Amino acid sequence: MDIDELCSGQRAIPTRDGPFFMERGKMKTYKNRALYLSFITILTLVTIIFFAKSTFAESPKEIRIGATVSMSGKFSTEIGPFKKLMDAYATTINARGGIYVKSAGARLPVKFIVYDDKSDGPTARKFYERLISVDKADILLGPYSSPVTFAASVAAEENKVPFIAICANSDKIYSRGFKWIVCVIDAAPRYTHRYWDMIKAEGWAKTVAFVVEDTLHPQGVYRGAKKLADSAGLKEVSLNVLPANTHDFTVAIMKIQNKSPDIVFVSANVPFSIAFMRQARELGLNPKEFHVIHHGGVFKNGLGVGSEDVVGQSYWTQGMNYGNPELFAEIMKHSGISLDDFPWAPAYMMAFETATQAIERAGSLDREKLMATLKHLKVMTVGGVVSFAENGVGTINTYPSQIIGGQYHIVWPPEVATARHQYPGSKN
Amino acid sequence: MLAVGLSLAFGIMGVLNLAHGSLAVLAAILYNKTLVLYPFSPWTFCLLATPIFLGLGFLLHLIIVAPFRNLTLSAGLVASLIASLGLALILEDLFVWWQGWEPISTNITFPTYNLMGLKIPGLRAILLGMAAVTIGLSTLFLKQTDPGRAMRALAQDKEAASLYGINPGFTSMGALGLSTILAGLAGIMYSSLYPIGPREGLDLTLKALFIVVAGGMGNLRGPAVAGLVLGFIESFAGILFTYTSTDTVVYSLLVGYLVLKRGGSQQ
Amino acid sequence: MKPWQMSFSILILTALMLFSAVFSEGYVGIFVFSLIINGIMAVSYDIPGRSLGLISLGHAVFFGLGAYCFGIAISKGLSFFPALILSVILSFAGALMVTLLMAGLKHGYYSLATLGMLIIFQRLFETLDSLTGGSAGLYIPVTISKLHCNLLATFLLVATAACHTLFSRSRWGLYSKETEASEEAAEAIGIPTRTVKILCLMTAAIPACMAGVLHLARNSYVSPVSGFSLTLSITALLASRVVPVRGMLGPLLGVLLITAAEEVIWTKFEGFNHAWFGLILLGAALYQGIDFRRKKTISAAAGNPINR
Repeated sequence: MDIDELCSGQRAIPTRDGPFFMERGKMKTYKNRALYLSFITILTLVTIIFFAKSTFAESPKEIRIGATVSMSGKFSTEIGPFKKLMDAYATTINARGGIYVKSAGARLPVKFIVYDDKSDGPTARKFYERLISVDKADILLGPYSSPVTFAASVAAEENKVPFIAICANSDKIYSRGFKWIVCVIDAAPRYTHRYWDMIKAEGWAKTVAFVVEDTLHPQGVYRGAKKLADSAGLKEVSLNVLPANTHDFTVAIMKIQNKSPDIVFVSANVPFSIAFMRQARELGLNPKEFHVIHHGGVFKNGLGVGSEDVVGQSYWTQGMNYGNPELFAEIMKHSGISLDDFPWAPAYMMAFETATQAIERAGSLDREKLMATLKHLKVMTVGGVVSFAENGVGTINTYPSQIIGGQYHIVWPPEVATARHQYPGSKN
Repeated sequence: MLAVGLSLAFGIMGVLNLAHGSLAVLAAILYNKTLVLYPFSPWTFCLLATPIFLGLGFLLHLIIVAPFRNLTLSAGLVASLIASLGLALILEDLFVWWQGWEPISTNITFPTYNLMGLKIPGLRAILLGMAAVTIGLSTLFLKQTDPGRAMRALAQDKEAASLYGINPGFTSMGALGLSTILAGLAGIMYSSLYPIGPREGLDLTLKALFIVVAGGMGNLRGPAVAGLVLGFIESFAGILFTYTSTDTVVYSLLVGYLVLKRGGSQQ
Repeated sequence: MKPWQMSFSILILTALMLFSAVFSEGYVGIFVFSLIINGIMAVSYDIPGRSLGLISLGHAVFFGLGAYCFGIAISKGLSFFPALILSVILSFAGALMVTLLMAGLKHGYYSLATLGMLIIFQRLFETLDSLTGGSAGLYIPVTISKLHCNLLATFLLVATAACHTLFSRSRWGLYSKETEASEEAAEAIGIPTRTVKILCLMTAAIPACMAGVLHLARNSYVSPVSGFSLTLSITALLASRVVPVRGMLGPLLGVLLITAAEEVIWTKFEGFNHAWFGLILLGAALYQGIDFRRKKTISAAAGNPINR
């Protein structure tokens, strides 16, 4: 607006809250254009979403496995690159000719269709609906974590599509009476049962202090661990349930120090465990053994020598000879993912193997047949035998693994162990 | 320290920089990558990183402050908030592409000292000292130097400061540079103690935001003291109440303080 | 609001109503529903956002309150409509309490206090295990069909948009603009600024509470993190401001743009999803800052922004 225009009073004084200026009775051309373009853009986007065909071939000559991966959000540090693992599995299997499907009379290639669920349940559910209705997935693999799987599995149940849950073992998921879900791994309360079997067999520990992260999975693991510890003859001397974002553990460490437990059992995700362990070492908390339910390369790298002799839980380490470890190693190498940094990779491999076997044995991509086959399936995988209970819960469980000399070793049961359990640990 | 840097940006320029935590993550990544080449201690790397982050602050100014200087206060705040959020999201993906998904954690160990029965972790004590020195130097800069006084004048009254010959553009660029340096140093120190995920920038910013309001905007001492006080309250709340109610107690006290203080007359 | 803005708005609302009636199941149904819920949050956010210039980072407090009140009522055995009525009453009371606390704050302090409220509610609902399910969240059985849920959500969006328009045209809307310009001056001429703020904030809070109720009714699950979600608050803020148009059209266009862009990016792009979305936000923000006018105004010559 010019000074002359302002002084003459013929036009309204401009008010500005952005580049849109008003002139009395008349829209500016660029505002018209801007709105028009906005509307066209939005209309185009909406058209793309609603009428876009699946990006994958409609042809039945392909096996479509749908999944979501938490590539962003709070679980991304644990599972973020796993689309690469799925693609590596598909590439490897397809290079070997694909999966034989009797009804098609041929070996069909596998294709994974993967979306980012942002570690969020409702987002995951939306994408599983898309996988079913738009992408026409034949079978679904579950997302990471119990809360996200809880929401996502509803889509599979409502649409009657086989759903193989992977890292989701909260008992709440499997007590809903759903018919279209199975899970590769055992329920959370039994997550550490082999560790407590070992403690019972060795007989040295009498007392345990628990530190629990207040989220779904660690709480579930703790509830089971408490009962297992009790049946192994241990007494709980301290329980500390802390929020997930805790950084200062001074009070909890002081309380535990006063009780001098034999075992400090940390039921938490990796960042929480690292922060706790670091401060525990600094303040001189010195039980006979530390146990963390989740550890991996990040844990080891984050603590350095402070991680030595800490016991955790692993699905697989080098040296285990179940299933086809060479295939697993090849796929891990192809994906570029380090097993140390992402210790859930074996669970995913077991899910891939389960899905593959289910398709081969069903001989069809018909969903009813697939689900019926899955329910009665018993298959050897890299982590051991996978089969399913009536409610869908699986049989795969973790093994206690100890960091000895900077390396992970399975320490129980003896037939699987790759090293002897170091007790008391060299730092204790 | 993160809160102190954010307070500077918010108080002087009226900019809510949601990419502030991402700068801390960037510093952590740079430190982690450099450690592979040479084992710098955190304090040495802080000195090396200072000019880098000063330059980054100037660049950031061009993206989230300069384009909005002619907008009204409210519109400018929202526009810079949206711009900084967009930048934070872009940086998240870049960090994942560069560093990978694994959290960044530097394994620095230091002995724990016993002082009259009190256990003092050496690394935490050193980092606390570094933070105190940094905030002290920044406070001296703001109080005793011309550029610092210009920044304070700008925070109090932009128009009056312009009339006195203070260039708002260059001054706010300097303020954002200082804010970015503080974010970078905070990131280096934080990653020495706790793992940071490459996508945690926004979370860090939001944690810092709340300390800012308790201590006041536009000054350095307030958020620093507020951060210390919050830490004490968190520890004692853990003794007096259950752990899970600690956050509720802490934030209730902060909100209660805010409501009673009825702040906001400055802006 | 100009006639063309009203026409655009009615066009968008009618389209959403048709879509929600036709597409209630499956992926499209979920997408349409989330579009509508985001629309309610954005339009309700815009009421105090535009009128009072208040930037809230805790708008999702009301969303979570509504969801949990409804969820607790259902888990105690009430059917849909009694639970709905009870949750309206309880969330109204809760929203009033929050609003009374926040009404005295301004500008940056208001923003940060709302953030604090969000965190308080999140932590509080994580602590009250027996009532809310704690950090694991609250699960409720399905109480209403998806079609009815979608339709209710659309009616709520229309009602919220109507409230937005009526409020801004009413004397309370004018009072709120005067309060934003200068609270002291408004007080001096007899405007009851505190009442104005409370009324404005409550007009925004109630639709947000109802959005929470419908979200839970459709999804059957809420947790403290998803209910009192900072992402939801920021999405509402973005949607209300990313398209710089006044009135209810701005938030409606904004929510369409953001939700649609997000959906396209997350389903059609391989990788760098956040970066693409961030670029859109950066572009939208820079667009607001760039001065298309080449002619100098008095304000530009003086180097200062014009204050309304």
